[in-house]
Amino acid sequence: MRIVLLICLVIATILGIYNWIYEREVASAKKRIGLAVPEKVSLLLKINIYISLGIVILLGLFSLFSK
Amino acid sequence: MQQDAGQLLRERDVGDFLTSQEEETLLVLRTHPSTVIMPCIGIIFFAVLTFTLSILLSQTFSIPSVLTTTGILLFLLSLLTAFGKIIVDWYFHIYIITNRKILEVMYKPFYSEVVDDVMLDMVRCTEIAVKVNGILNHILNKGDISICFDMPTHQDHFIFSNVSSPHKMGILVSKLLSSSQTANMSAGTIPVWYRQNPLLNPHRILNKVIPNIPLSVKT
Repeated sequence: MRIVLLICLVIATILGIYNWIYEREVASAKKRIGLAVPEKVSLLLKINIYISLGIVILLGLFSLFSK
Repeated sequence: MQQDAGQLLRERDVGDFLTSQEEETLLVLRTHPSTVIMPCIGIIFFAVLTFTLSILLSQTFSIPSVLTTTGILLFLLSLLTAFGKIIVDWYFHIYIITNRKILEVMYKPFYSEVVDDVMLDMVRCTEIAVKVNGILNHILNKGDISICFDMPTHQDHFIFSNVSSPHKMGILVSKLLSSSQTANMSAGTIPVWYRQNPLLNPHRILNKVIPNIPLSVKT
């Protein structure tokens, strides 16, 4: 079961990194095309990042304490 | 700047797309909100379905609750990621009509970037067609506006896809195009055939360059 949890942890980490890079790309839209992203959209993407981080930490704890 | 349709944007939301002198923004719009709402409803449906199925499966096959929770969390995370992407892609897809050009900007961060513009000084608008296909599009009042331009070497189409109130927008677009072209002709506006100073305009949108015409850099 630990192996399954570790695989899930890796997937969650990849998704978290993707969300973080995506948020950076969206934030740089003003420089790229001159269109600024509104705060609500930026907040939604930041929430995605925090949720990813929370899930990674949770899965890390699960895999640490599982058999 | 037109203000009479719900999906029209404020000018400050548009960004710095005005690259010529005496250029004014006439119309800015995004696609119909249903292009976002339908996928989001699908995402919510899949999330509920996954949650229900995982609970049933974990009880039927005695799967440890840790694994079930992990699976649900991962799936919800990926759905949230998709949800964010759908909203961002919709937000960064806009159509702009100014008195000098028509512009479509479609920016998908991390994936693609399309900027399609038609300089109205160089073309003649020959046809504006409004298309609404399907029962759902009729109910939602969503459709396409296709503008056919007669260019020196070929004909081309510029399509506003999935816009709200397509008939009303089609009439508005036709009035804007005919009034802007008339204004350009009567004002004796110099056709745009020079290359903008890239230091002043950070965009990669460049006006068309006509061969054998000396270039002048605007300062």
